Amino acid sequence: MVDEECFSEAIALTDRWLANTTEDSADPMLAFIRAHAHRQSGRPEEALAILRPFREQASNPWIPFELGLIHKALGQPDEAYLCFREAKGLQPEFTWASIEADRTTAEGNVPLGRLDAITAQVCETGATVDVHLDRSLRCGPLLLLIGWCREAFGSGSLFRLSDPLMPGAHAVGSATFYHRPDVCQALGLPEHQNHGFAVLIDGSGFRRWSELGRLPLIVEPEGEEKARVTSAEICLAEVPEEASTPLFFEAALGVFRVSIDSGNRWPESLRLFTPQTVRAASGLFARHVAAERHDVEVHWLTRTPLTRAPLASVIFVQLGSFLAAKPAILQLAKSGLPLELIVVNNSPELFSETFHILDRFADIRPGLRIGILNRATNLGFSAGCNLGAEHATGECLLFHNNDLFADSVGDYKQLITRALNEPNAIHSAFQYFTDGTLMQEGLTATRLTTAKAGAIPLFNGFSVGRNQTRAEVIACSGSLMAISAPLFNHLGGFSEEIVYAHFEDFDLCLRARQEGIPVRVWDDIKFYHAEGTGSVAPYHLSGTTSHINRLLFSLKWRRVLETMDLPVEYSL
Amino acid sequence: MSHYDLVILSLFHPKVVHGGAQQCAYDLFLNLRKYSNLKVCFIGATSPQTNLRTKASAYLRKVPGAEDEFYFFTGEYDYFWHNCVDSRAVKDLTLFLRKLEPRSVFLSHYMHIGIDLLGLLRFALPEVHISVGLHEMLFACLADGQMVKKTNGGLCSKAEPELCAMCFPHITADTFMARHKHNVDLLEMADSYIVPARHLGGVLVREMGIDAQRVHVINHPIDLERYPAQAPMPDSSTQRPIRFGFFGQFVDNKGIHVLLKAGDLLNRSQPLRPFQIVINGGNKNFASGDYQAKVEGMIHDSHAWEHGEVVELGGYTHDELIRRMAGVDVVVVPSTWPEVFGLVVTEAFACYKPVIAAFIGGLAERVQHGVDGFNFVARDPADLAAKMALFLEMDHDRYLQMAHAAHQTASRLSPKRALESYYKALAVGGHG
Repeated sequence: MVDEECFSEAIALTDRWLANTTEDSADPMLAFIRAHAHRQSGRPEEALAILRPFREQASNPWIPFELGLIHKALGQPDEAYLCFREAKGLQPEFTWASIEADRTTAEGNVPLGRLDAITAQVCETGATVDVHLDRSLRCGPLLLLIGWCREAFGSGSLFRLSDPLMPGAHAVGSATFYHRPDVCQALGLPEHQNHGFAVLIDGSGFRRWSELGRLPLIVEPEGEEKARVTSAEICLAEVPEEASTPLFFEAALGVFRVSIDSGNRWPESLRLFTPQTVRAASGLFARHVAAERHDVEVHWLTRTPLTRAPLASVIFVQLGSFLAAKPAILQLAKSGLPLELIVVNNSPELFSETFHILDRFADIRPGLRIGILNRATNLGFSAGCNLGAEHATGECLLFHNNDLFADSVGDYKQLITRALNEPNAIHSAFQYFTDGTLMQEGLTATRLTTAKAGAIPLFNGFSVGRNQTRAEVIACSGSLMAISAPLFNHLGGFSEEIVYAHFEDFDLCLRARQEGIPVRVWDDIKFYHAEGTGSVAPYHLSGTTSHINRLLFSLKWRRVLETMDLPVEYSL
Repeated sequence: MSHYDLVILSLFHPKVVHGGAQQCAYDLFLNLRKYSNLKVCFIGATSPQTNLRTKASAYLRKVPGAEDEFYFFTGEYDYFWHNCVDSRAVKDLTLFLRKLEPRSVFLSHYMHIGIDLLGLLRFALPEVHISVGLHEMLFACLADGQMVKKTNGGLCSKAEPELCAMCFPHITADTFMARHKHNVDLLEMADSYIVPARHLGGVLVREMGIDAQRVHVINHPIDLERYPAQAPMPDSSTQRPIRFGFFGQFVDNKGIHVLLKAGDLLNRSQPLRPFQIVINGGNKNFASGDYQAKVEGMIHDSHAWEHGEVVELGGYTHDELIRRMAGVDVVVVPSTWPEVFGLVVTEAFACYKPVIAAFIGGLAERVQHGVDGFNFVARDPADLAAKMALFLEMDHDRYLQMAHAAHQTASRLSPKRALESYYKALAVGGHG
C-alpha cells in the first residue's frame, strides 16, 4: 500500500494489526513502514515517535534514512544530516542517503566538521576495493560483469547493487576469480598482481533499471563479515543490452571456461552461478529456444515417396562435423528397415558437408527417408531432439549421437523391434568404448559430496558399468535412446530449460520414472561409442554446460534424489 | 544403353595417369575384349589433379575415340574415409551403372571412386555381382596402406586403432576404430575380393573378417608379346661387373638404402668380381627429405668403393623399361614394406632377369628361392649382400639357367590363364 502511495490505508491496516498483536510492535521494518506512511501523510511528529526508538538498534540503513527525512520535514537539518550520514555509514553505496545529505548541507548550513566526526567511524568499514570493469553486458534479468581486481576474493563472493528507491531491493550475484598471468604480463605487471573476475548478477528484483542512476558495486567477500564498496559504479541504463541470447551465453559461459582453464577447480568456477542466476539463465535460454524453434529450413533429400511408413525415425543432432556419423548411417541403411533419418543441424556452416554425407543414400537405398533440419544458430541438444521429433513420422524415435555405431546391423534391428514391441518404456543398449571395454549399462545418480558449490548439494549422472561401482540403473543415455513417439510426446519431450546440453536424458527418465514408466537398457544389444568425436563444440560450450546443467538438475530433482540411496562420488 | 556383362571401374584411366593398378584393370578390359565374348565396359576415374576437366554436373563422359570406355569425373576426395566428398558424382555413377544393367561390377581399385560405392551399388543393384580389387592395405592402414609405422619405421603385424593414432596423432583411436568398422561394413557388401597375392588375402581375412572362401588370389598377368626381350647371350667373361638393378619409385619404403648398404658390405668383402648397382628410380621428390639426404650420403660414400660402384639413371617410362632391364643382370627388390605384389618382379622375369627379393609381404611369394632368384631377410643388408655375392660367384651356365627359369615363371602369368580365374571371381564364367 505504501508503494502504491495509499498511506492512510496502510496506517489503518498496520494499526489494526498492532492492536491484535504485541510482538510485531518491535519489528523495525513495520515501524519504518508506519513512520514512512505518517510522514508522507503530513504527520512527521507521529512518524518520529514511532521510529525514534529503533534508531539505536538499527542495522538497516533505511531506518536512519527515514528518520533523516522526518527530521527534515520537522525543520531539523542538523539532525537530518546526522541520520543521512548514519545511513550511509551502514551502507556505503546508499546513493540516496548521500544525495539527501548533500542537499541538507546545501540548504541548511549544517556544520559539517562536527557531523563528519560522528559518522567517520561507521564509514571506515573497509578500504575501497579497486576494481576495473572490462565488460558489462545484460540480457533479460542477468547482468554480466567481467573485470580486474587487485585483490582476489574467494569464488562465491557476492556482489550486489542496491535500489536506493526500494528498501531491500538488491541485485545480487556471485563471482569467480581467476588468474591470468598472460594478461598481467602483457600489462607489465607481476603475474599475480591482478586477478580476473566475473560476476553474474540477477537483476530481476529491480523494477526501474532506467531510473536507478549510478550504483556503487558492493562486494561481500566470501568468508568476510563486512561488505566493501568497490571503485566501480554501474549505471544500469548505460549497460548495453545484448539482443542475442547466444552471444550473451557465449560471454557468460566463455568466462566460466576461462576460470576453469586458469586452474580453478570446476566447483569453484561454478560459484559464478547462484541458484537464482542459474535459474534465470535457464529461463532465458528456454525463452530463446521457444522464440527460435520455428525458424528452421527443412530439407527432405529423399524425393521418392516411401511405400510404407518408417518404423523408426532416427534423430541426430549435429554440432560440428557430421563425419563421425558415417558408420552409423551406413549401418542404418544396411538394416533394410523402413527408416527415417533426421539430422538437426545446429552448425549451418557445415550444411554442405552434411548434405553430401547423407544425399548419396537418398533415392538410392529404398525405404530410407532422409531429412536435414537446418538451424541458423545452435538450439542445443534438447531442443534439437524435440525439433527432430516434431518432424518425425516414425512409430518410434531413436535419438542417436553421431559418434555411436552398432556392433552389427542386427543390433539396430533388435533395439528398434523391442522399442516397438514395448512402447510404454524407454529403451537403450549397453555401450562400449571402441576398444571393447564396457562404457555403460545405463545411468545412475550420485551425490557429489566434496563439490564446493555453495550450499547446494550437487548430484551427478554416472555411467554404471564403467568401473566396479555398482548401482541401480535409473536412466539411460540420450546418446542412444529409443522411445515411442506417443510416449515421448506424453512426457513433453526433453526439457528445453537445459542450457544447450547435458542431463536432459536423466531429466526425461526421472519424469518417466515418476509415472512408473520403465527404462530398459538391453545387455544383449551392443553399441560402440567413440565418445567425444561426434561434435566439435565451441570454446564456451566445451566443459561448461555439463556443470551448469548439473546445477540445474540438482536444484530441480534434489527432493526426489535425496530420498534415494545413491552412491557417493568424490569430486576434487 | 545396352546390357553389359561386366563393368570395370578403375582409380584412373591409364591413358591419363600411368600406374600399375589401373594398367592391370585396363589390361583385363582389353584381354576380355580380345579373348572372350563378354560385353565389357571400362570406367576410369579422374581426380582434380589430372587436370582433366568436365562441365558442371557432367560426371561421366565418353573417352574420345574409344568404345565402352568412360571417364568418371570426381571432385575432392576424402582419403581417410575413402569416398568422394561431393555425393552427386558417386550418386550419378551409381545411377549410370544401374542404367548399364551389368551382371557384374568390378571395382578394381576404390581410390578416387570411393569404397562407399560398394554400399550404393548393393542398394541400387541388389542382384548384381560385386567384386572389389585390392592392391594395398588401404582398408586397414592409413599410412598409404603400407603397414609401416610412421613413428619408428617398424612393421605393423596388425592394424590397431591405438597404434594407428600414434602414427597420426591428430586422429583419435576412436576415430580409427570407427573407420575400421565402416570399412568392414562396406567391404562385406561385396561378393568377392580379388588380390594379387596370398599375403594380401591373408591381411584382408585377418583384419576385416572377410570369409576366405570369397577371396580370389589372381597374380597380375603379363603379356609377354609386349616384352620382346632377348634371352641373355652366353658370355663367360668373369671380369665384367655384375649389374644389380633397382627398378621402381625412389621413395622411403622401397629400400634403396638397404641395397646401398648391402653394396657397401659386399665391397668390404673384397669380392673377386666387380659389381655395379644401377638405380632406376623415379619420383624422388615423393621421398622424404631425410631419406633423400640419407641416400645421397650413401651414394656419395660409395665413390670410395674399390670393387663396386653406384650408377643412378633416374626414372623411366614403360617403353624404356625393356632397354633398362637389358642393362642389368639381376634385379633387386629390397622393399622394406610388405609389398603386395611387386609388378617389377614379373617385369624382370619377362626380361629374363633373376630377382633377389625381400622376403616380405607378397614379394615373399614371387621368387622361387634358388630357381628364378633368391629371397633375403627383409631389411637385412648383410643377408642381401650374401645373396648378391652368390651371383658374383655364380658360373655363367648357372646364371643362364636361372634367367630362363625366370622367364618360365613369367610365361605362367599369361593373360589367358588369368582370365580363367577372373571369370570365376567376377561370376561371369563360361565365356572363355
